[in-house]
Amino acid sequence: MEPFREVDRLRARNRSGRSRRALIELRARMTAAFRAGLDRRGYIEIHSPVLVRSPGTDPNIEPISVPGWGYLATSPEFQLKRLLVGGFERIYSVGPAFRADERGPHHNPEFVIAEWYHVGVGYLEFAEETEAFLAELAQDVTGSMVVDTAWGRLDLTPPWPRLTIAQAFERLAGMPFSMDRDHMYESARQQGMIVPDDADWQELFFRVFVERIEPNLGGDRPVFLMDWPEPLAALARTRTNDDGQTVAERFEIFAGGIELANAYGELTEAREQSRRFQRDLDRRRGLGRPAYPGDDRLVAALEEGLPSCSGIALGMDRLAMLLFGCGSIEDVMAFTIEEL
Amino acid sequence: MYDTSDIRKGLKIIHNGDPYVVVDFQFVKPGKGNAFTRTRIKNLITGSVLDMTYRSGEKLEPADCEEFTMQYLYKEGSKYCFMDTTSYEQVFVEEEIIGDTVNYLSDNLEVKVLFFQERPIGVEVPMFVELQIVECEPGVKGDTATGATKPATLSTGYVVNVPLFIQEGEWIKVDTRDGNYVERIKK
Repeated sequence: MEPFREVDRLRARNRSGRSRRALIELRARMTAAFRAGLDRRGYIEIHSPVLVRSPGTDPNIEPISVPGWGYLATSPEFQLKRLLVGGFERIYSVGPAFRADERGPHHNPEFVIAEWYHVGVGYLEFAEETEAFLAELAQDVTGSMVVDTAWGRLDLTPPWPRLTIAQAFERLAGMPFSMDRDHMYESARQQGMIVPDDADWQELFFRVFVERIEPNLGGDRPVFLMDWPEPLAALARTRTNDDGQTVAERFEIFAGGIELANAYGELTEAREQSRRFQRDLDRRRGLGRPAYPGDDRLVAALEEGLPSCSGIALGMDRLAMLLFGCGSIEDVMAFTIEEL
Repeated sequence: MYDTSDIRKGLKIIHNGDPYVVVDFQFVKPGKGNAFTRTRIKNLITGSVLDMTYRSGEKLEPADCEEFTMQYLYKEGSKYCFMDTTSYEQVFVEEEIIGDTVNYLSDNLEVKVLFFQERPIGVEVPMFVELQIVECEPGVKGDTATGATKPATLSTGYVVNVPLFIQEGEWIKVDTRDGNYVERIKK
């Protein structure tokens, strides 16, 4: 192991020109302003447990197990929703979440996730509330709604552009969006992409997404990516759009090519929730991945009655990267997994 | 076999039967989406570059490339002869594999020859080589500050821009990464 001194580690400057120590201090201010902003809007902070029984069933998220006890939370979503059933109307949580096998310039297996939920607000109204809040946060922390990110100047002044998934495919990937696997496969190949013959629809969707769409999203202004296809509804409720397609009430926020937040008009029907848990688990088995238990208590709570609400999860590490001009998650963390 | 967690710059892998080297890579994963490792890989034979996206956990076949230190001996037709400095075995390497490296190949130069399936596929010269100037305009004394240059032909036939004070017959150091003059060598 490389010998180093803590003072040297904290003094070292990264490509943003700031030292690790300076960034840790800036980040503390950001977190404080984040809490203050939600507090002002009437949200109550919840300490959501890190040690949980059901880590979620998402086919593409691998939890870290704690033998004899359960799992480290991959997000606080299930617990926070139970509190909404219990009567809270505006709540938030800021704390660690854990996802195995995720490490890269935008990923660390332990990261800080912020989630907040607003009862009685539809997801389109919630998007407006969110852009106003995050723009105000940038102003509070950096003194401006225009910040210099590692990818260039980013203007957070609302309103932010809205783009549907279908529009993103057409404008950024130069190919039509399709729910048909073979159609997607041919379009991707016509665009010069190298795609394996055995890729299923979802893999093709995300290949186009990571290669052609995501790098070009939100370069100079944050973008809301709306109207996700039904198979990617996750825990969002669905509706029929103007073209007669079933889409999820889901939006994601991208800025500087970074996925910053994911939000839903939350699914409130217990039976549909059970069906989605089952669909996830079937997909996990099909992919040869371990199947984790769905959260029975969440399903029971939905039966009790989750009021109509919207909720969002945001990566605090990534928000710090954007606000402070950092190109890599390790720039804004006190310790990465490799530094432990 | 490698898998995607082994990917790093310089890793040599097989793609469609050809050996490639990873020149850049990034782990990407949409929050609710599939995890991939995006890579940029370079064909070790043709030099062409490809963007490949691997599924997380996907297996990659290692390219069994071997590198030997060899000495350049002579050219015969379109082939260049090199000798292994430990086994004294000699091999011939085709002109198209040598490529631009020919600009730096002087007699007895020590190079690294890359083999794939016992076939030479690449020749790597040192970062800096020393070469003699065989032809250039007469030197201008004293003019070392203006930064003005003139073309000079080296013993390999390569033409490089050198400062005005350099004389025919002198030796210079050349940076093989960009092909530029570095300094004059006293021999």
